[in-house]
Amino acid sequence: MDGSIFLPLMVIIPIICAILVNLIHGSEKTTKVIAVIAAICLPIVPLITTYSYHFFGGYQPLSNGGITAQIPAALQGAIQGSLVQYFHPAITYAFGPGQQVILFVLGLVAMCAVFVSIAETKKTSGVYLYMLFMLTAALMAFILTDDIFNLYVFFEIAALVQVGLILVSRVRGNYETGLKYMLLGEIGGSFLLLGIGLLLGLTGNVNISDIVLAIHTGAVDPTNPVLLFAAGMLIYGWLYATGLPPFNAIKSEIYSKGLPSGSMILQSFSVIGCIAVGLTIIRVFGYLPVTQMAMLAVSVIAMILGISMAMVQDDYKRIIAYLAVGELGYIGVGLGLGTAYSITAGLFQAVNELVVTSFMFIGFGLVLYKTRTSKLSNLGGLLESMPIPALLTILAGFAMAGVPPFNVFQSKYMLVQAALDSGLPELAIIMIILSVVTFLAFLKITYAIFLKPKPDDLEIVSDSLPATTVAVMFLFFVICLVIGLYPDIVVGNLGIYALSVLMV
Amino acid sequence: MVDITLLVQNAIPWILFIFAILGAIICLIQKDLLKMAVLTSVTGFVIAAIYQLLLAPDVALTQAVVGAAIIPAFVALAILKTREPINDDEGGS
Amino acid sequence: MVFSAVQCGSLVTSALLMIIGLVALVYFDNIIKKIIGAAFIGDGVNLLLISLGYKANGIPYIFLQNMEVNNFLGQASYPLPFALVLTSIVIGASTLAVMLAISIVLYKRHGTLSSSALLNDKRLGEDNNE
Repeated sequence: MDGSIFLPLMVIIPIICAILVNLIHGSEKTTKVIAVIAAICLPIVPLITTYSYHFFGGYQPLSNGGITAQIPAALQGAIQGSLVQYFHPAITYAFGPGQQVILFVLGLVAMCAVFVSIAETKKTSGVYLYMLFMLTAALMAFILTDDIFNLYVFFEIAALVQVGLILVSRVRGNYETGLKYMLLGEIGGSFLLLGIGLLLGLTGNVNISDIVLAIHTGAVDPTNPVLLFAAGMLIYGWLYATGLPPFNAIKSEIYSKGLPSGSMILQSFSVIGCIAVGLTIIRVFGYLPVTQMAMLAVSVIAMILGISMAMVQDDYKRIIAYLAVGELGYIGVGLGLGTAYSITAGLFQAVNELVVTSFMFIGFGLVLYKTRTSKLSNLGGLLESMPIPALLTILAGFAMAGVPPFNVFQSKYMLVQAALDSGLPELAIIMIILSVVTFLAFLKITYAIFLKPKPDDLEIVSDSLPATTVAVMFLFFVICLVIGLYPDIVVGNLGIYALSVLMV
Repeated sequence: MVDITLLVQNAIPWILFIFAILGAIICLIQKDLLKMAVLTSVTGFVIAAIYQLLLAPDVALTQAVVGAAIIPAFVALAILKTREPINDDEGGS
Repeated sequence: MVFSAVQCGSLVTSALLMIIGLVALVYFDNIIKKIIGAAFIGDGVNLLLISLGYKANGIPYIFLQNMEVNNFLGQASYPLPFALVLTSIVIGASTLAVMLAISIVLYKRHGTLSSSALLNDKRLGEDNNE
């Protein structure tokens, strides 16, 4: 059997499962079974799919011999030999080695999020699972799609579902944060659509490969100022999707209002949105150095702001949220440097971040589960009451800061090297200093939560921790260690993806 | 006579453009929120008419339904819901 | 690309709608007015997309039985932006509905629709579970 038929299933399975669990949410047992089966499918499907393209409706480019029968003979001659025969008439999904790695890791994270949410909530909520699966489907489509309007549609779906995820979390102030995020999102989404509309007006196409082709073959004047404006609008949408400044405050607020399993998927949206929209910008506007400079500048500001704001907080959920937003700056640096090596490094950092940030959110979610408080000054001495999860959480923090045997060390090392290769040693120094500061922030949290003597008024819930959550943490730990020790299994594939992005 | 018909035909788009913008401004500066909800439909409907002029009949249909009927209804519902005074024992968590 | 007069007019209208929406979003205090301002931004972008497909002295892109294929291809408007706008209108309406629903809940909790009172409340800085 041809493995390429699985390609659309990567998006279809989570969508169908989302609809099903929402329809039958009355019957708890069936919901659980369906959710678990679909969750296990998520990481498996990318593994068994062969590298291929999927043309929805079967409409291939005319150069492949797609729909020639329906075209009048007079037009055939005009189309032959012109650019039109290479254009994609339908939504196209592309699946290659790089996409496989990213989607596999994303599938694992989504699977773990579903398991954790089933294990930690007393009554399984079909609506909550619906939102987890819908967001997963949107993220899968982000990576697969080669169509910029399809990207926008899933972007809006993801933004709506994100708000839904924080509305159900029952954390104080979630409705206010949700409304603020949606009002900002309406501007961000509209501006992204405006950029897409301008690109469509100039090139007559929404397929990214076709836009690139039209710009680079001279069918569209590359120096047209409208293109520059469209680049600005797309970068604005990218900032909003990723949560780089000026959106870093609202993004970290969003993280801190979610449940642990929700936060895992929420941060996946930031990471995947960052690479999907960012790579689109690089593919289309790669010839304009100013876009790369803008991406680089904002990323550096994001790293510095994220970490310095994290240092002054007293709430560990906020600290992790700010750090997670700051770490996204590293991906932006990788994309902004714009060489094949740096884009590979950025993608590698994105894959690592998907795992490590989720790892941290679960770990500190357990602390919240045990103590019901998130103030650092009220906490202490948790090492005795939950030794193994505490150790894993500390290791997650070390992994995020870039301590050697773990995966983030490898990607940050690559990023530093890419910065040096591009003749920007200052950038490399900033990145190293910020890694050290991140490590210090973690030492502070670790000391305050686990090592400091336990305050008298702290009440620790005596329930045993959910075994699923600890197992998921072990899984993430193993992934971090394996990728850290053998980075080549990931980097080679991502390198192919990076090269295909830079290729015209 | 021909000239006048031609003139009217040429003027229609411009009148619609002016109506769309004025409708938006007047709707937003209303003090009474319920009036604002009703006036939202002016812009929605005029934009639908502009779509028809710009040779997009199916989009005009959708916009006429969504912009002139559904969105004002949603807004009016929300405003009616937020007008009723809240009981202290129920709300104010 | 050369624009016809009607196209220019609709582009200007769309720009003005976006500006009105942004001003409403930034300067009005009432949440529902902010939400309607956000909806106007979406309307403006949709109008821009629609005016991209317009062709002066053209016909709608609906192919009827008695038409010549080549005439039709020469005169018909460009339908791709229209297909996109259909999706975009529905997305805008659903986003608006969710925002209005959130504002109803906020009113029931706090008894006000003023955004300065709701969104800048200092007590909301804490993330403790309820």
